[in-house]
Amino acid sequence: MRKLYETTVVINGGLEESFIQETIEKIKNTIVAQGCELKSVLDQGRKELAYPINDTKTGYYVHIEFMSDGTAIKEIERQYRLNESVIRYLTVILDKRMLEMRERVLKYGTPSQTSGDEGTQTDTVAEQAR
Amino acid sequence: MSTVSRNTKRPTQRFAQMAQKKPVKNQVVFFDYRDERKLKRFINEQGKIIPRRITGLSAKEQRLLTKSIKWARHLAIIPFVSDEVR
Repeated sequence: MRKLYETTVVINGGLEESFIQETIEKIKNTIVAQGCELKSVLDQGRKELAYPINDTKTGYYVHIEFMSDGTAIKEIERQYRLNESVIRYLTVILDKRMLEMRERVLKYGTPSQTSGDEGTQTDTVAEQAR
Repeated sequence: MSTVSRNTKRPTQRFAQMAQKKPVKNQVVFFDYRDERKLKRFINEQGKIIPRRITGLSAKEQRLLTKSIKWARHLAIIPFVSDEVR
């Protein structure tokens, strides 16, 4: 059965831009080569890590959504482990509950992101208390 | 016969009342393991997950929340332990 997967890759942020783009291309190619269908690629760029990993302070975050029957995941994750510029990776199934939550984020999340986070968040907490 | 019917009727009525009192499902709560800001609300200063009785999430949502937080910790989006606490 084919399912929708999402894989997150954290690439060492200390590397050069061209090398990072090359790595992303390589990852995409491995996913396609495994017979998976790419759905979307979300490039979040460099972000500061919450804690240092191997003396690295920044990471380059890429989220890739793809359709797969599950057998390809093993090989994709093996390629991540072989790739030294990938410092962290995570592959999750985007099931019904996850997609439902994504919808909610789209529906209610956007206004709170643009305006001040603090104010809107306390409002929602107050709504819950009622 | 009449007593039997009364006995069966009462609990169902009570259940009906309880069902009415049940709060409306709050659709406004949301989080995403890919975004630090969307998770900050559900962790305290130490980086611990806030329990259900305070977040007010349903059991289903809380299960997804704990998973999301653990995924985010692994990806270094949020810290395992914040070191500001002394």
